This record gives sequence, structure tokens and C-alpha cells, in this order.
Amino acid sequence: MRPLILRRRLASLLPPRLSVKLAAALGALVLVMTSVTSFVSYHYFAHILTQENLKKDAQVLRQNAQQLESSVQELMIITRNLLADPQLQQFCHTEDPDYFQREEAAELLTRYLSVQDLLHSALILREDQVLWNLYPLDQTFDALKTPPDEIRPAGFTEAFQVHSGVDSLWLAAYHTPISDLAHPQQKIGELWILLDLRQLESRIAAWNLPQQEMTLMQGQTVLIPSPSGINEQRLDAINAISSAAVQPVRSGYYLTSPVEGTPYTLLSYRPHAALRGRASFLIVFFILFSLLIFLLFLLILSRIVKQFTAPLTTLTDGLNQFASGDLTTQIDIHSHDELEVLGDTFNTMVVRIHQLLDQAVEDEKIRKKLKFDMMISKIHPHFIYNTLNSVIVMARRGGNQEVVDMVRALILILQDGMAVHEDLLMDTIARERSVIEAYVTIQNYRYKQKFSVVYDIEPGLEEQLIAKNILQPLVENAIFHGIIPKDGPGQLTLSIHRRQDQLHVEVRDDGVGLRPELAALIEQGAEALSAHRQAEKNSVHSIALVNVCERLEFLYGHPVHLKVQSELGKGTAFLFDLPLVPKGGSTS
Amino acid sequence: MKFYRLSLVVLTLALALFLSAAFSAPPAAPANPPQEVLTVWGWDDFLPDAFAEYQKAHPEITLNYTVVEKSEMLQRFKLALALNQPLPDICILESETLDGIDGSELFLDLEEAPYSLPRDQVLEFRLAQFENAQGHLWAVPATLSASGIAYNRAIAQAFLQTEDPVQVGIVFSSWADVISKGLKFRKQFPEKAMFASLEDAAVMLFGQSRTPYLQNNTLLQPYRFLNAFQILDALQEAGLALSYQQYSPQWMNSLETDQVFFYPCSLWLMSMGIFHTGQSWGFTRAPSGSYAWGGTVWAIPKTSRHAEAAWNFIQAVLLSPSGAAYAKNHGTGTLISYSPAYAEEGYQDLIMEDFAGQNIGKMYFDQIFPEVQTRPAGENEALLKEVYLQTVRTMMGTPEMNGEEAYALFLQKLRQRLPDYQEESA
Repeated sequence: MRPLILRRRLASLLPPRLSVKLAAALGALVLVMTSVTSFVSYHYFAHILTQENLKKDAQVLRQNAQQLESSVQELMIITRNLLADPQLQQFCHTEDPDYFQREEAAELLTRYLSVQDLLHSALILREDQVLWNLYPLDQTFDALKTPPDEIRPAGFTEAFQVHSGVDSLWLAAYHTPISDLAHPQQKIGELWILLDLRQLESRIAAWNLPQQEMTLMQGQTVLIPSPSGINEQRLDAINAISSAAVQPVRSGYYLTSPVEGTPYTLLSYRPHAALRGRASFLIVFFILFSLLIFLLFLLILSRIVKQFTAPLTTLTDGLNQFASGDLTTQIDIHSHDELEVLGDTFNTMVVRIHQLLDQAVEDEKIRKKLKFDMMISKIHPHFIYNTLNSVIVMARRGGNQEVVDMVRALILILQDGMAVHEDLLMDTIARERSVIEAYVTIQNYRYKQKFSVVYDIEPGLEEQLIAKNILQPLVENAIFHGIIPKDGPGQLTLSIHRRQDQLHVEVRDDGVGLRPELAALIEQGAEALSAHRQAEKNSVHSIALVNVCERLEFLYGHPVHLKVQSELGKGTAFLFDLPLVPKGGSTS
Repeated sequence: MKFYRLSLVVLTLALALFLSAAFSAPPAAPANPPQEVLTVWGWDDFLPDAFAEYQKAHPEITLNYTVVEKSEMLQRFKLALALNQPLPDICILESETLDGIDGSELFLDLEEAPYSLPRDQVLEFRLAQFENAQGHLWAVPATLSASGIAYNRAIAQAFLQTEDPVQVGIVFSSWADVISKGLKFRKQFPEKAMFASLEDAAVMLFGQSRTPYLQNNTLLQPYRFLNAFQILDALQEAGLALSYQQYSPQWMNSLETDQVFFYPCSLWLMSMGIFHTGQSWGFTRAPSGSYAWGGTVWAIPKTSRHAEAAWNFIQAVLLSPSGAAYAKNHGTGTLISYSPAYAEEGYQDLIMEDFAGQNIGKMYFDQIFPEVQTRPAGENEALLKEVYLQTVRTMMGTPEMNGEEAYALFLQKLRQRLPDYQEESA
């Protein structure tokens, strides 16, 4: 869950663009791959460099050890020569040598030792005395007097110091038995060659380099430490100074090189960082290289991704444009891939939707027309017209002129209804007046002296077109719902005047008026009135008003608003404005 | 678009430059770039310490310093000559150990260009020893050889009821005084001695002579040695000298005790710090006057490949005000042979804590230095001294030997070393 939340949060940081996400993802991939490659490369090179440097350093250490071995070999040669020297033999054989003999022996030792820096001085240990060539009279080493049976095999001593006033001598010794040349198995003394450890220290110091210091070990003991102490810091990490030339420890390696023929070992600690040397530069190199490559790749990639995702943007913009209502949206994609196919499909879809919408509108128009036709066919069946003609003939034969006039009026009305049935939805105001006059004629016979009709039609408007069967139903309503229920006669006024570019039509009566709620319903339109018609049980009058409203809506659209002015007991007026439609025009 | 192209170009250029720089980077400079190396053999810390200071302003020069004991230096030097081995770039030689060494042949004429050593800036009384055939110096005196005597103040106070240097010098103004007063000293302090070694008295006696010992292969005034051996015998007979060998550990360790009254003393010995032992010392003139003892010179072999660097260093240390100041402040302090330094007020003052705050410099230049007179260079003087001291050591090792026997032995040994020498008749 948490990775998912994290991923979403990261994604939310990026702009909502596919090109950005693609570029970021690919860039991150490049960065990761470059980093992994750099990491592996660095470690590989660092390893190689470490091994090479170790090899080189081990060689240097070996060479230095060989220099010491060379000095030791010289020491051995000097020792052998001394041991074989007759003067030494004689001194060792001499009982209680006097000072001259001691001095001669001292001079002998001095002559042999003067060729080597590392050789400080020498001692001849006898049972009764110790002769030190530097100071034959000095008794500093008298404690070393050794009886023959305690003479040890040849070897090196531990380091020791000889206190000498404010200074001290730092020495080690190579000791070897002095054998009687005449009787080799008989030991007659011990020869000590004293090594000047200060000289040795300065010689080793001359070999030291800033990051490559040497320590001289005697066994497991540090004899000459490194100047900075670096070699001694981690000595406890290795179990023992072994013959292994390279011993790894946690943070580096210990290089050792024994000095053959001695208990000494040269030792050097080489930290990983020093061995890697310039490899550490590779870290900076790889970081900068990865960064530059990442930026360069990101730059190039962003352009390529942008090129690939541009069609998607075009597609998105087109969709948005279409969604905002522009049904003529067309997009232009030439990417020669699925996106182009998608774009073409989108265009086709838009055209098809447009077509479907147009079709739907047409269908709706047809549906309304059919419904209108059904309405017309309900009010004016064709057979009534023929029957009425027969009635006229019969009335004429009977000499009933009033019947003839009434039926002729009715026929006129029926003929007008047939015209509507034959798709004549508009007619002139003059023609509509004649229909109304025919209707009034009929009603006058029925309701004698009950009402009168005033025609207030502005001159010049006779030839203006008006929707058929709009005025007559309103006149009918005014007569039957307004004047007839009234006590006494009433007057109905039909006014048609031009107001700017519209026809202002009023059908006014001085009848009983309408209930306010009914007036409001009529003003609300056909739907509201239709619902009311259900409640009034489909009365003919209700049908007429609904038809008027529907017809007005169908022919003129919603902008035609049927207003009702009514006051109970005073009368009702139906008012509406229609667009001016001259003869030969249309309401669209 | 413009920004995109610009960014692309800039990044590509940056990458190309970066790679170019990375792959064409010069190899890392070696940890130790080649330096001029001066090789020197020596026995104390003065020169290496002075070089460490010098190197701060001259990091391009490094020092290869080999410790060679004072007693072995001459032999080491001669061996190198004999075996045709390279000599050090600066040879530190004792003034008294130049036998068999033809300095004018081996070392550079320092008064010639480009060195142009100003002779009047050198304060030493035996310059003749370091002159070539043209009379030019081939060495620069480093340490002064005029010497006096150091005495243990506690013993002086106990024995003489004074520790004043002048008073002590007056009490022991001659060897006869040393012997006579020594007998009393011995009685009063049987566990103490006047000298740690007979060699101590011997070097004083040897250096007090005003005339050469050997000239034209003739031992001049040989009785001088008889006299010396007799004095030494008297000292040994009276038990006034211990049998330590000079400079041996026993001799050095004796300085830490109040067992010995006198030690031969010079500025160069003081600068070695051997008197920094916890004892309180005084410095005064030696019995029978100041003597020449030790003293070193620095010379540059003609075979040196770093002569210029060596000369620059020598100038800085021995022939400059800064060198004079450095020497005065190094360790216990010493005074060098740079004469212009002494014109500066206060330079001669050398106060030493180990000498109870005594102004050693004042004593040195008031009494010690004026008493030492120029002794013309003699022949084979180092050999002669070697034989002499060998004889002295023989006396130490053979207590029953008297002065005359020692003298006879001396002549015998000298004959062994110089078969053709003659003795000046009395």
C-alpha cells in the first residue's frame, strides 16, 4: 500500500503530461543504469588498481628488505672474517690480556667494522672480561661476561639501550660463538656485533614515502615504528606477522617482507584509499559523467518524446473542444501510427455524431409533425366535408338559407383544416380572418345576439403569414370560456399590429375571466397545460389550448411566449408576438 | 526551440570538454618530486636541526644525514678516500684531525669566486691550518676550539667554600695547583675524583702547547710529552683521575653524579648538552691556561655535485647573522665563528642554565679565548695526538706505569707510526 501511495505522490509531483512522465521515467532509467554501470566500473577499476599498487608496493618493500639483507650479508662476512682472524683468536686465548693486547684487539674490531654504517661497534665476551672496541677501558658491558659453557648459538638479541649521560645508545646485537680454530668444537668466547639502530632507523626513514611508511618488526614486536604510527594502529587486526606477503585487514592490507637471516621483518600498512590512489578520482568522474549524460539524454529525449506524444496532445485538445460543444471539431494527425488511426477515427466519430444529431433533430421534427398531423386528423376528418355538402343541397331544397350559410361557413372551416392537413402550416392573416369569420357566423347562429367580434388588424398586414389554427382556437376559447358563461352579451376583439419586426397579436374578451392558476399554466406552455388537460379529463377546449401552445412551439420555437391577462369577472386577453413572416417566407 | 538548441550545444560541449580533460589529465605528480640532496656525515644534532630550519625556505633541498661517531669520523673519511667512495657534500672535520688530508687538494677554495668567503668574518685563531697554497681558506670554522674547564659547583662550594668561576680559576691556576690541592681534595672526598678520565687532563695538556709538535718530521721539544706524562702519572698516582675512557658511557654517566670535579669544556661540548644532568656547573679557565681542543670546520669537496647548494647552506648557518642567532638559541646555545656577530651588543652574552646562569660568553671572550694563542699547524698532529692518547689510555689500563715509562712507550708507538721521525735534541 505504501509503495502505491508513494508512487502516486511522486506522480502527482509531475505535470499531468504523458511526455513529461515518459521523459522522467526514461531519464530515471538512464540515470539508474549509468549509476549502476559507474558503480560496477569504479569498483572493478579500483580493484585492479589496488592489486597493481599492492604488487608494486610489495616489490618496493621486498627491495628494501633485500637492501637490509645485503647489509646483513656484509655483517656475516665481517663476522666470519673476524672469527677466523688470528689476532682475535690470539686475544681470546690470552689469559688476562694487558691493556696493549686489549687495545690491539679493539683496533682489530674497529678496522673490520668501519666499512659498514649499521655496525656500531663490537664486543668480545670472555669469561673474565668484556672488550668493547670503542672504549676498551669502559666496563659498561662487563655484565655480559660469559663462561664457555653458557655461550649461545648465533643469533640476534632484542634491542637494548646503553645509557650514556644525557643521551643513550640504541643497539641490537648479532652474537656468535668464537670457536677455537684449532679445536672447532671448543668455544673460547662470544663475538657481539652491535648494530646501530639509530642508523637503521634513519636508513628506513629515507625509504619512507608519505603514504608508504615502513616498520621494522622483530618477531611480533615493533622495533622501529613508522613515523606517523600508521602501521602500528591496526597490528592487533592481524594474528601474527606471518610469512604471507599480503595480509588483508578491515581497512587495508599489511605487506610484510622478512629480512632473511634475521628475526626482522619489514612491514607496511597500505590503506584501501591509498591503494586506490587516483581511482577515487573516478568517483567524481563517474558522478559528473552520469549527471552530464543524464541531462543530455533528458534534453534529447524530451524532444523525441514530445514529438511522439504531440499527436496525443492534439487528440486531447480535439476531445476537449468536442466536449465543449464544438461538434465540427476535426483533428489533423499525420504520425503514421496508431495515433493517426485514432485521429482519423475521432474525426469519423465526430462527423457521425453530427449526422446522428441532425438525424435526431429531423426525426423529432417529423415526429412532431406526425403528431400534429394526428391532431389535425382528430379534429378534421375528410368524410365530414362531403357530408356537409350534402346538407347544403338538402337545406337549399328546403329553402333554409340560414342552414346553407352555416354549413358553407363550416365547409370553409373544414377546408382550412384540410390545408393544414396538406402541410400548409402558415397562411395569410386575411385567410385566417376569413376562417374566424366563418366560425363566428356559425356560432352566431347558435348563440344569437350573445357576442360580437371586432377585427382590429393593422392595414398592410393582410398578406403577412401567420401560423394556421392559432387564432381560431383562441377566439373559440374566448367565446366558450369567456363570453358564453357571462350574463349578457360580450365582445371579443382580435388585434394584430406590427411592433418593430414582430406581429403583436391579442385576442381579448370581456368575459368571465380565467382562474389565476389556469392563466399561469397557460403561460407555462404546452407541457404544463397538457398535464392540466389530463386532470380536466381531455375536454375539447383544453385540447385546443394545448394544440395552440404546441403549434406555437413547433412552428416558432420557444421564443413565442403566450401571455395571458385575465381578471375574473372582467375578461381575458391572450397576447403573443410572432416574427414577421411575409408571404413566401418561413418561420425557420 | 532556441533555448533547446542552446542547451543541447552547451551540454554536449560540456561533456566533450569534461571527457577531454579527464582523459588528458597529466599523471599525478610523484609524492617526492626530485630534490637536490645534500649528504653530510656528523655526530650531533646541530647540523640536521639547522637544516630543518633552512629547508623551510628551501624546500627543494633535502638532507641525507649519516650519524658517524666523532671518534670514527676521520677513519671513515680516510676510508672513503682510499676506496674512492663519494665524500659527503659538506665534510665536517675536526681541526685537529687533518693529518694525511690535503685539504687544498680535496676541498674547494672558498675565497675564490663564486664563494668569495670573506676571511675577516671568520673568528678563529688557527686559520693557517685550513689554507691552500694560495693562502686561501678551503674550510669554514664552525665551532671554536679555545677551551676551558667545567667544574661541579657543589664540589667547589664544599671544597673551596666558593663556586665563583674566577676564584676557582685562580685556585687551580696551574697543574701543580691541581696536584697539590688535589691531594687535599682526595683526603677530604675519598669517593670523589678531580677528573673522570686521565684523557681529560691529557687533552688539556696537549692543547696548551704554543708551538707545533712535529715539524719537518722532527718532534720538537719532546720533553713536553714527558712533562705531560709526568703530570698525568701524578694525577693517577694520587688517585685524582678515574679510569673512565673519555666519551664512554661511564664517562658520560659520571656527569650525572657529583663524583667528579672537573671536565674539559668547550663551547662545542656545552652545545652537545652533556652538562644538562641535574648538576650545577661552572666554567673557568683551565689550569695553566686555555687550550685548543676540538673545534670543527666545514669544507666542500671538489667532487661534490651540489657545491652551490652546500655553500649556500654553509653561508646561512655559519656566516650570517641569522646563523649566529640560530646557534645561540639552538639547544643550550653556542657561539659560532662569524665575527660580525660579535659587534652586535649582547651577542657575546651566553647565559646557560646548566651553569647556574653564568654568562659563559663573557667568561669565554674575557679569559678563555684571549689566552689561546695561534699555534702554527704542525705535521701529523692528529697521528701524534692519537698516539699520545693511546699512551694515556695505556697508563689508565696499566696503573703501575709511570710517566717516564709512558713517555718511552709514546716514543715507541710514535716510531711505529712514523718510522722516520726524529727527535729534536735538547
